[in-house]
Amino acid sequence: MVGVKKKMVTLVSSDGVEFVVEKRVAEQSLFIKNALNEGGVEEKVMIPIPKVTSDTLSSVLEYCEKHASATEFQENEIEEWDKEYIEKADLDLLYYLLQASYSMSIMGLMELGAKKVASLIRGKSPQEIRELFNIKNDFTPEQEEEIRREMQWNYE
Amino acid sequence: MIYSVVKKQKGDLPDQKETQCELEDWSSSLQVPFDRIAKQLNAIDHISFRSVCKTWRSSSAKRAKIPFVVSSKLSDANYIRDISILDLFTKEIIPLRTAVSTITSDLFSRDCVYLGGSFGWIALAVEKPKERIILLNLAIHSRPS
Repeated sequence: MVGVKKKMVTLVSSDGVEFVVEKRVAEQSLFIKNALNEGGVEEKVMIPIPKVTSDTLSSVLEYCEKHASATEFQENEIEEWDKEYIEKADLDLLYYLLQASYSMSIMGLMELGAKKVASLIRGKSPQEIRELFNIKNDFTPEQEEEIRREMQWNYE
Repeated sequence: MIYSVVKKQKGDLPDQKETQCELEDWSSSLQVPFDRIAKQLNAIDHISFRSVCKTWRSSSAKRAKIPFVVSSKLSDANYIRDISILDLFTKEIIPLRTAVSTITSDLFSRDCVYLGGSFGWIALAVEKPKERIILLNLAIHSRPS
């Protein structure tokens, strides 16, 4: 790396903000990695990231930056960092991070977000889950009946 | 700092923040990997997950495996105080007392005797206030629909 100019790429969020990042950071996203490979040229450095706003992209890149340097850290240091990183995300950001990691193919971030959401679901009733995540009950009466049977545990 | 914001400009798209003042609707999007979330959940939480809304329900199929009893906790008088089941999907041992507390806290506070379990059913006997048998059904969600 010494003396070699770092390869940079520019990512453009859906609201038009440009982020200049190291190629190895951006390549934490398989979507970007593939886009760069397909381009095959160094000149192709402007990559639009559809549906991901600047606020979300900034957070996503924070994750990518850390994980691009993962070899410099102990495994438990990374785990600890991941924990803190996802802990400070509120529900909306968590939602955007899941969307972004899905569309950008960042597997680690997707797993991290999914685990966090699962931890919020654990031990809650469907209604408690709906209230937490602002979800409307949209089942048909037939589905309601099926669910009622699934939730019924005891027969006396 | 490896990345930096070079140019800030308003794009053609509306700013998400301005148009969305309410909490995101977690049921509306197919762009969220709900199946990944479901994978993290044990048998009991998975049923709750699938009972939230249509999108969540369709994102993760019913699980086919039947959990079975691996241990039970008894009082001095051999009455049941808790039952644990093994979740074959998550390889996790779930104490029912905490997992489905609405049903079991009442049940296990009574003088309840474990009779046996088979194919996801657990049979319990209660003496008071009247003698009867209670069947806990852990398998109904694993029947083919």
